Amino acid sequence: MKDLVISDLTVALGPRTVLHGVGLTARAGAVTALIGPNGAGKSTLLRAVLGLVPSRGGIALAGDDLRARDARARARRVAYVPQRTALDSGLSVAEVVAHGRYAHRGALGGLSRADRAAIDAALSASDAGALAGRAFDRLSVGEQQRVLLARALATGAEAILFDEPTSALDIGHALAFLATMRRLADAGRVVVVVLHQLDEVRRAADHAVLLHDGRVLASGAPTQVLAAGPLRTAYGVEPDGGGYRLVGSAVRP
Amino acid sequence: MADRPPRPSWATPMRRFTVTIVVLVSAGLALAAASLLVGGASLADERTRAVLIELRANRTACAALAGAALAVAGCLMQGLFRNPLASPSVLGTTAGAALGGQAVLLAHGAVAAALPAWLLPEMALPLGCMLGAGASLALLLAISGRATGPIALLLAGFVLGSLLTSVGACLTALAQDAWELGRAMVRFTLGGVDGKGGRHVLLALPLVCAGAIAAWGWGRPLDLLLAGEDEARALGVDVRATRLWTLVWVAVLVAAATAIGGGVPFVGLVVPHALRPFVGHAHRRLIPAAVLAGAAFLIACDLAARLAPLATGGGELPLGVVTGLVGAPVFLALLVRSRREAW
Repeated sequence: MKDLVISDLTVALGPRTVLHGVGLTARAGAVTALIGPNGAGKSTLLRAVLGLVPSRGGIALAGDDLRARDARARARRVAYVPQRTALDSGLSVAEVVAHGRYAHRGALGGLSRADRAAIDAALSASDAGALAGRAFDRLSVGEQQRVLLARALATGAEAILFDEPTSALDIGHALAFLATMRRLADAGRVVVVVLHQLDEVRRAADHAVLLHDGRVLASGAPTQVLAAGPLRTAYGVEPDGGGYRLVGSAVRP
Repeated sequence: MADRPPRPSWATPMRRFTVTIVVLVSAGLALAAASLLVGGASLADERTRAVLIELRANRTACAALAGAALAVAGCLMQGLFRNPLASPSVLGTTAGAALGGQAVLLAHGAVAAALPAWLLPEMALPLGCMLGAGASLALLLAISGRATGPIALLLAGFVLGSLLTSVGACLTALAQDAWELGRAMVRFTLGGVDGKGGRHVLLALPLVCAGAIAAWGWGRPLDLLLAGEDEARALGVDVRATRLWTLVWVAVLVAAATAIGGGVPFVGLVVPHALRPFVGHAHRRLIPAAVLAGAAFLIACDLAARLAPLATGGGELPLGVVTGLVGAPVFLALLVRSRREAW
């Protein structure tokens, strides 16, 4: 199986333990949503899978222990689409997407035919082909998000991690982005996405994992995870008609 | 007629890069020729012509090497710190290299005696500059480690540069008892390539070549680092090695430039900015262009410094004064622009 399997994952940042023995399986061919209140550890979990923070426990993709791999080998297997990039330079879109091939390339050579094919395919799949010659810092937020998706696709990784990819997008771009994630999953990739909008979880995810205080509170089909009990514990809210109402004190202003 | 297929997205930048390189090579050669042929003394006298040409050739080569080194160092620092206003002179690296050089000049006898036998005494100055530049970069990282944002980094660099310049001024003051040494210290501080010989060229050439080639080699990870450390690491970059080696090569380049040209400010700031509209932001294109443009720029500045007496009737201007007169307004313009728009 080509699943991403996380087992007993613990992450401590300084004196604070952010994740406590988290375990979950993100299946290949499915969209797995990570949800939970602010500070629950969702982004930290993604960062641990990417090797950006020290962690203990197991992180395996298709049975291969990612923690034993160096940055280049890991980057060929797992790609990342951040919520907002720190990139604020006049690099062209084609150059930014070519960064996705970094882990495949030698130190000296130019882009190979395979690299160029991967970049063109990624630009096309993320509907960013028309942007290729433009400067990245001149794009709108929605366009930049499509370019970051293309960069992740250009890696050819089997697993793609999204950190709140729709938070800065309008409803049209957000729905288009969710549809792209669906296509990626349908093509057999592991898709893990941190989402804040619970209706997007219902719409886009096959599987949901609710984190609370660094632990898995609920895991399963979105309808099960978004039931009244887990929501009340994690968010201090419960379903109310088409929306939610505040019932507890989990939300501390 | 059938429509032609769309040009691949990477074709246009490569064409602009090629045109820019051709223009820079042509400009560099023209400036070098002018530098050989133009000056206060005439080449008409056959008895002095060969000597004058040799003196000017060494001077021109030193200006070209120092300019290339500082321009490449500027590209590296702006990329590494993700700050368009970073450069060796703005962040105190040049002041550190100059302080190292001043310390070597002051204690020349003791330093030369302490060097191992396989090192030439001439190597003492670049070694001192390298130690000074390296120490300055390490201090900058320590000071700015907790600071975020481009202005905080600039402030840290300003404070560091002021401190190192003050210490250098103390050393220069100490040297004034000995007239020759005092004069050498002042000339070194103000910058200049006059009086440089073939051994200076041979000393700097391998350092600048190695630094420029290494900088080109680290160009690709530096491009990825423009997106921040996390994104770069997620894309497979060894961030720690990239940062360390980039700083090492900045120190080597700034040391080589300072050893043959003294304190020459703003080259590393002006040149990368002038080039980006033509060659783009990718370091693998920016760095070769910076080698050529930095060399041409400093040859032109040296020519201006040399020709100033013809207009003013006074002595030659120090090279650092000319680059300062050009670079300071550019820096201020960039500072104002950076407040209005992102890089």
